[in-house]
Amino acid sequence: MKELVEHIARSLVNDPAAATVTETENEDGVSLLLKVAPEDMGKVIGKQGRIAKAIRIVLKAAGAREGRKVNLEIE
Amino acid sequence: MRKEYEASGKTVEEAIDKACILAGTTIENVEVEVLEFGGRGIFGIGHKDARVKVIVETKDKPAQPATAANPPAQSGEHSDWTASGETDRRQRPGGMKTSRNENAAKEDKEEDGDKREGKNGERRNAGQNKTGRNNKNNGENRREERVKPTKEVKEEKRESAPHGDAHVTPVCEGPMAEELTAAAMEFLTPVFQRLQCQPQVQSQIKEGILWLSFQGGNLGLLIGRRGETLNALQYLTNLAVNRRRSDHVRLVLDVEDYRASREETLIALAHKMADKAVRTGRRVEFEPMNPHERRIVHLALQNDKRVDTSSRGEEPYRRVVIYRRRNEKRRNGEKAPNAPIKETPAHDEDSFAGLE
Repeated sequence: MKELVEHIARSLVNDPAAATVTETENEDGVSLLLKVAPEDMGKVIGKQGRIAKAIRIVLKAAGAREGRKVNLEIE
Repeated sequence: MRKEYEASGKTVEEAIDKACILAGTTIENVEVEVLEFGGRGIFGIGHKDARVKVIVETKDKPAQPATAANPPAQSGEHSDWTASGETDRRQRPGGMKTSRNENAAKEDKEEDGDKREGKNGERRNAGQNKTGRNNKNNGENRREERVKPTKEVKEEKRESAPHGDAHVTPVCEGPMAEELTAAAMEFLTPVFQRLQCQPQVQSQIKEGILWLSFQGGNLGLLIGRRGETLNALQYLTNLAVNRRRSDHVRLVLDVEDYRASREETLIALAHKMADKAVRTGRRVEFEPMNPHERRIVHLALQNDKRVDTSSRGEEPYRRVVIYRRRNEKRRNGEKAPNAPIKETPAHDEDSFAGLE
């Protein structure tokens, strides 16, 4: 799951090296924390969170395959 | 040059119509001064005619009577200005045409046609005004209604192209398409891997847009609820592919002809909802949809004379609303709906879901 978010984020930002994801498991499912360079925040969030929303939708589909819930935070 | 004409009639409108006939022009080209409003009186007693004065202003001399049949413009320098203004307005969407896809261009053309039709309607109404038979308000209402659907479709069109349609570069066959397909797949392949599906990809260009169609078993997950996942992936793919480009290209992702079947569903739904609007006389609202889907609905009902469509709300919750045309029932000789269209939305989740 971590690789998926990393891949998507790095495809969108100007500074791919700065994009990192930390993954934590809990009873609800997977929690992912995405960090990108401050100037790339807009690239992963988008106008009115549109990009973040799209990423979450894809993650939800990926999670559904494994029967897990995925939570994504962006920092 | 300035000319004044005076006329009287039972109502102000009638007086204006008569004065316009005298002036050999239409209401659009004159300034109206009401001299007397007149009064209806009781049983014809105390009845007073309305009197008006219309002032015709012409910069040029004789061409003026020619305006009689063609309302706003087409005479003298004055008209030149208006005429060019008109053309501008009409061609502005066309200006963007070049940078947009062929399809949109084609539809723009259709739209122009419709617009002209609208103008003709205007002209017709103006003619009726001239005979003094038609009440002005009536004519105007009808004109608005006639033009409205086109306007809506146009609006959707503007909305339907993401990131401002002015900068979309049409995709061409050959190296450009291959390069874009490769770029898209570079983004999509790892995503597909994660989603545990290995679809076959087929790329083709439709109207300057690169379509990537995927085939293979078990791709339902890729589509999601009402195309949610597919649309999200499409959006992200567009961003990823366009990130390093100076121009902007558009990609559409399709899974097992989902786009076509969705369009069919939406058109069927649109007609069903239109019937419902006509039957109940209430406005019918759709679920929020993306611009592309709203546009399909608007286009599907564009030629349905019984209803008007428009969109309301803000993205991403914007939705299509269908209204029954007000004078429709009256024309059929049935009782006119006195009450304006009810404010309660006849929103119907069930019929929507049923068609999915």
